[in-house]
Amino acid sequence: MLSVAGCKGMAMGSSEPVVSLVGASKSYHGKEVLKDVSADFKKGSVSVLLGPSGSGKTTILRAICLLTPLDGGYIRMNGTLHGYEETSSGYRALPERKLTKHRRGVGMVFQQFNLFPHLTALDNVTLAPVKVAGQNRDEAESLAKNLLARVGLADKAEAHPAQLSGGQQQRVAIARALALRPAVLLFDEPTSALDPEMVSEVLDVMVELAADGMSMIVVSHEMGFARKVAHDVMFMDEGMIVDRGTPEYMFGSAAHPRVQNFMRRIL
Amino acid sequence: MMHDLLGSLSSTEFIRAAITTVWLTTAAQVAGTIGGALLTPLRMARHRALRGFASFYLLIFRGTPELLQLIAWYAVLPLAGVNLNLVEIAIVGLGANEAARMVEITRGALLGVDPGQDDASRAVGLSRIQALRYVILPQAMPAIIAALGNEVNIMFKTTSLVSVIGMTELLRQSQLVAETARSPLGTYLAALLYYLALTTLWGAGQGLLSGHRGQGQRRPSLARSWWHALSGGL
Repeated sequence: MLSVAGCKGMAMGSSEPVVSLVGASKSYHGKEVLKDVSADFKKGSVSVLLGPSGSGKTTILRAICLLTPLDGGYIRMNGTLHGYEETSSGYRALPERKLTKHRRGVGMVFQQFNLFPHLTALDNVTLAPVKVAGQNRDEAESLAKNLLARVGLADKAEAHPAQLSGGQQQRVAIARALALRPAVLLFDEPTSALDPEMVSEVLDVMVELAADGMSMIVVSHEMGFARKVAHDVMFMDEGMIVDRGTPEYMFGSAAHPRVQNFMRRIL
Repeated sequence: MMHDLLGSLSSTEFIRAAITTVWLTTAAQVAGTIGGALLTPLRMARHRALRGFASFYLLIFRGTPELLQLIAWYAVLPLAGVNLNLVEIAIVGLGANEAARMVEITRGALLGVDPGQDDASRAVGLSRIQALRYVILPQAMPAIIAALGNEVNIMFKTTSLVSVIGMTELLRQSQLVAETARSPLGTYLAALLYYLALTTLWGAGQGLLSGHRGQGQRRPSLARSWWHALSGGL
């Protein structure tokens, strides 16, 4: 099922946010990449982040999966603080050793796949369930085989990443990200490192996940995907969310002029 | 000259000295590898004092001649009230220097692993230690093992330095014989041939260990398989 009925954004999923960014700010070497960004990402919905490179999209994803601590602000997941603690002087990031538990709630799919090259596809998926969640190997393997089947790679369980095409590697990476049953799945330009003929096999998997009600935050320039699957499109520029709305609104003539300008250049 | 060469090659003193060179190489390399494994985490620590200590260690041992270091161990340890025999001083001296070299090798191999691997490890919830053990180290290991092979080759030759503190390994043995030989050249040539045989044998062994060249990642090398078995199949 390719089309998600309605696509009015607010209609799909509950109105509760799965992830909330509150006053998020971040600087690298004196350059502000996130400027006091606040945003809710709704449970069971697909949010697509658009914008020119350097606009802060990837930083938002890395902040949510707790790879990059915010300088200011905090994050909530399903209503509780995610990777941050409240102190008398405000919110601050938890130290590294306390983050591992929080990271389990988030799955991340990287632009360059980042599969573990020394492990088989199956072991890539089972590593975290066995070592992090303490599942026994049989249990983890049967779950991993289900996940590999779900991304259409049941027959590649014993293959190493080097033996797989880019599209297949990215689908294994999606299976790996799903292994700990995360509350939200993040995609950082998941198709931009792929040969053109492999883009659709990855997008098809993402479309199915969306149809199953997975909460997803996607940084992508796949406009077809954004139009058809997104419930919510955000446009970022210079570390801020400039405009946000349903795909109909964002791809239409009522959107912010900077959004329209960007769309014209990219389409 | 031929007489001295052949006489030295087959003498029990030379064979014994060659055996000394082999086990001293082994002991010093093991000591250096363990020392390197202990110092590398300090060198890469976030804590400034730990990093400072490791950097200072490297500065001293990478920045001074190894021959001088051996003489210093020999002269300084007794002053500090530590009485070690020649063999122990040789192992400490060679091992301490090798540890500094192994830190650079190990650190380089760890930093050579794609940073995306660390991102992916942490994103699936592995702790820093788990990421190192299950993801980063297995990928750094082939480079470390390859470099270790070269270190052993170098160590075979470096052990000749301990002749200056009077330990009877191959070079010292040839010096002893040369003093009374008709042709000193013949005895030194014998030592040279012994070193050449040791490094050549080691090189052949290394070739077997690292598997077939040019096969890329498709066929796991013995080193890789060994690590695979050691790390519990992951």
